Amino acid sequence: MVDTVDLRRSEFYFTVIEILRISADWIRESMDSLHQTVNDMERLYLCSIANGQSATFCPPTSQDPSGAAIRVFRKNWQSVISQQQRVGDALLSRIDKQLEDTPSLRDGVRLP
Amino acid sequence: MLFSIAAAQLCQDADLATGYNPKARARRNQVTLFLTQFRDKWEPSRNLWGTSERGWTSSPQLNSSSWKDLVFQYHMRVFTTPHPGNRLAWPAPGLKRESGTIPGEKNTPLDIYEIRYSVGLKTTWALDFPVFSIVTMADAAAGSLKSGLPNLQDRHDWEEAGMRPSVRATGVAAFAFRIQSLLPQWEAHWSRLLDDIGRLATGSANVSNPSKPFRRQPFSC
Repeated sequence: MVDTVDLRRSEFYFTVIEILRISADWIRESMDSLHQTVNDMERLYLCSIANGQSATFCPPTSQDPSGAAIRVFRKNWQSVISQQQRVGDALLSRIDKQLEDTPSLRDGVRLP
Repeated sequence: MLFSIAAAQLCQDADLATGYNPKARARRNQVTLFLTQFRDKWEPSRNLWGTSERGWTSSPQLNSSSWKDLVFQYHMRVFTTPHPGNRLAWPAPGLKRESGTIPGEKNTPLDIYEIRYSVGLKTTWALDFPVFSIVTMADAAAGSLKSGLPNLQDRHDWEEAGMRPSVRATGVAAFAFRIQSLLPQWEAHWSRLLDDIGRLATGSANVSNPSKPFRRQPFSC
C-alpha cells in the first residue's frame, strides 16, 4: 500500500505543476492579445501592413502634416508593449524556475 | 445595472433603439461581446490561425462615411490568492470564474481564484478631434480602480506614463494609457501567487488566508 503521506505529496506537486503551467499560458495569452490589439490598431488607423511602415493616418488628416502624431501613436503602444513584455518575461522566468525546482514524482515519492 | 451603465458608455444612443440598423446591431454585438467576455466563460480572442474570429476589434467600412465609431476591447485574466487586501466575497454573483485549491503538504491549503480586467473603448474613427468613452471593469477582488490608478484626466499622469494624445487616435492613446495603468496590479497578483506557491513548496511559514472560509473543490479549468 502506498503511504498516504506520499499520496498527499504527489497530489500537492502535480497540482502545483498544473497551476504553474496554466499561469504561464494565461500570461502569454495576455501578451499575445495585446500584440494583436496593436496590430488591429495599426491596420485600422494607419492602413498599415504587418511591418508598420505606413506614415499617414488612413484616411489622411490635415491636422498632422508632419506625421508627428503617427510617431506618438506608435510610441504610446511601444510603451505599453515593452512594459508588459518586461513584466511578463520576468514572471515566466520565475515560473520556469519553480517548475525546475518542483521535485518530480520520481524524486518526491517513495514506492514500496 | 453595472452592465447597463457599461453598455450605455460603449454604444451610441441610436444603437440602443429598436428597429433594423445593421451598423447599430454590429456595435451592440461588439458591446455584448465585451460584457460577456468579462462576465461569462472565457473565450479566446483569436482562433488557431490568429485571425480575429471572435471579433474583439470592430472594423469600419472604409468607403462608408456613416461608420463613425469603433469599439475596441482588451481583457486579461489572472490568478490571485486571498490576502488581507481582498477580503471581499468571491466570486461576485453572476460572474463565471475558475478556482481551485492547492492541497497543503505541510501547510494550510492555498485557495486560488481567477479575476479579470476588461477595458473597452468606443471612439470616433474619422474625426480629427475624436470623441471617445472608456469603460474599465474588474472583479472586486482585483483591487481598487479608483485609488492609486493613474487618472485619465490628469495631464501629469499622462506625462508620468509616457503617453501623449495623438490627434485622430487620442481615444486609442487613452485606451493604451488605461491598459498600461493596470499592469502593476496584473504583475502584483501573479507575483503573489508565485510567492505563495514558493512558500508552500518549501514548507515555510503558513501563507495568510482570510478568516472567511472558501468553498473547497478540486482544481478544474
